[in-house]
Amino acid sequence: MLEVNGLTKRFKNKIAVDHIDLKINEGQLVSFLGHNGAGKSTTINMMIGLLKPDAGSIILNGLTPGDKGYNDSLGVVFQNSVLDKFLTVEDNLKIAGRLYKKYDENFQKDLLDKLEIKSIQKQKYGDLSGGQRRRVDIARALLSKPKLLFLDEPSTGLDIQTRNKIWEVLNEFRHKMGLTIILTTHYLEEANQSDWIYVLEKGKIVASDTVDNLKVMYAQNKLTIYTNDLATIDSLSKYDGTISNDNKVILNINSYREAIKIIQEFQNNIDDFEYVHGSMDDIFITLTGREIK
Amino acid sequence: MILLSLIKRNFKLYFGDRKRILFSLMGSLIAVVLYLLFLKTNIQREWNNIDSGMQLLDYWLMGGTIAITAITTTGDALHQRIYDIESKRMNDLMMTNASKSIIDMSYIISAAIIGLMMQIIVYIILTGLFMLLDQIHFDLSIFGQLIGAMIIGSVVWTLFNMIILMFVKKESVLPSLNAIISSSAGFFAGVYMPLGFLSGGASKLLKFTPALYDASMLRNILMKSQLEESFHDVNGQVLEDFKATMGLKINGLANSMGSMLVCGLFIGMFFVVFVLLTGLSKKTK
Repeated sequence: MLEVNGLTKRFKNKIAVDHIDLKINEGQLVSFLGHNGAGKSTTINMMIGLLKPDAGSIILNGLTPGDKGYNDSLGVVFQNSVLDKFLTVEDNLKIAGRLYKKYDENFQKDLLDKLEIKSIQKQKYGDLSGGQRRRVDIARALLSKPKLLFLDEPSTGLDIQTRNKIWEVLNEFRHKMGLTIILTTHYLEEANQSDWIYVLEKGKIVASDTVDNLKVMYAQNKLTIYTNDLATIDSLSKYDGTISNDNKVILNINSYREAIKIIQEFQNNIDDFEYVHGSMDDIFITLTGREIK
Repeated sequence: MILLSLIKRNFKLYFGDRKRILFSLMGSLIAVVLYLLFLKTNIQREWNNIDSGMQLLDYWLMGGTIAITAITTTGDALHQRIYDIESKRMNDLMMTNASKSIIDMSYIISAAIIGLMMQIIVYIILTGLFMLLDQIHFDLSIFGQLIGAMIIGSVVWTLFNMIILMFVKKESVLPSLNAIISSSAGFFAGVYMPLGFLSGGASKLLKFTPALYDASMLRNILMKSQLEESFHDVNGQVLEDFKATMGLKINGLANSMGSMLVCGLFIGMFFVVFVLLTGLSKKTK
């Protein structure tokens, strides 16, 4: 659906995006993960045609940014709220809808229902809370029935209820309409549900794979065993990358089967154990050397 | 349809903000307050020998004030474009089926209509005020001509302001720009001081700016019947001298039609500059 090759953007002497290649298939949820200034928003701004790349190509269903009709299949939720603060929610959405040739009023009504916006329709957009505003932004972005939705840090600063509501609606659109979503985020749990992840660091893609594969490559599942038996501690310490501390031994494990095998082998001498999956946090720290939040 | 929705949005944003309308009108109505407080008696002293001089002066002031209104309110309306750029609202508009040129056109059309509406409002306010103060007449027969002149004024100043605002990228510049434009508007339109009272150099300079012609066009329409009445029994040369002094006759153009033509020329000129600048900004992007 979307193919990007050698995308590059410089701002004065600083290179913001450095020869990025992307391939995004229809219906996928793709996350861009990276620190502030890693180049996520710049990449998105080039893909939605707001910023001209210095080099590289972007092809969306055969069209490049600037081509007539390129924007037709796009929806964008910008990082900051960008609707008219002095107008009501209703006016904002009505005006936005009428700026599209194919405006479907019933679809808009349906969106208002789904995102629970009806009760705040008459309020001025500028008077809404952050969460309410975000719901309106999502409704605005979905108004044109886009095939590809860009979400630039959609849930920064939102409470868990709003985040869940937003994802409930977005997932419904993904399943019913095959909506493709490109997401930049700081929330690792949000990235966790992605089909594909690009990790960006200093304008470059440092990793690109599925969540599971990234976890296998960059995050280890950990098995912690508690025992007072010195012989057991001694035997377990022979495994690669093991850390032992008093009566606790932490082992890097590749699969749950391996964990079960170890637990069974030492079951008579184990006091207790914990098994923890490798997380997106681990992936991120391994790749960039820093925590994300 | 898309253009209409954008214009509707601009109207809602402008007329929904009472403070903005008030300050927009203040720019021109301040000239009236200054006139009533300081200038009226001074200028009038010179006109003692003119029949119904006070009423004549009122119409003269109305013409100038309406011209200032066109200058300041079209500018205020066009500021929406700068607000939209700075708040990134423009980015969202660009995501729709509206093209950049349609969006720009919507600002221009809205500003021209807003400018016209505000000129009409100022005309009604001033007519009411001077009907009360000096018993001037409300002349319905000139209304069509007056509206025509107001439309021309609106278009001239919308284009003028648009050209200036094409060089502005930041909202923070607007208050200073506003102060410069609205304070010089009164001078350029010859409201604070009649053209004939200015030095030769200053009056020559003014004759190359559209403000004076806009004011002259409106004054010729507003003052026509009062002039005929007041100067009925006087030598024609006196009337000509009066017109030249008061800025109703500029560069030999002694009626509204002449000034209208000059304003039309300014519209053409500003339009060409605007198109060239738009082309240039596209190339440098």
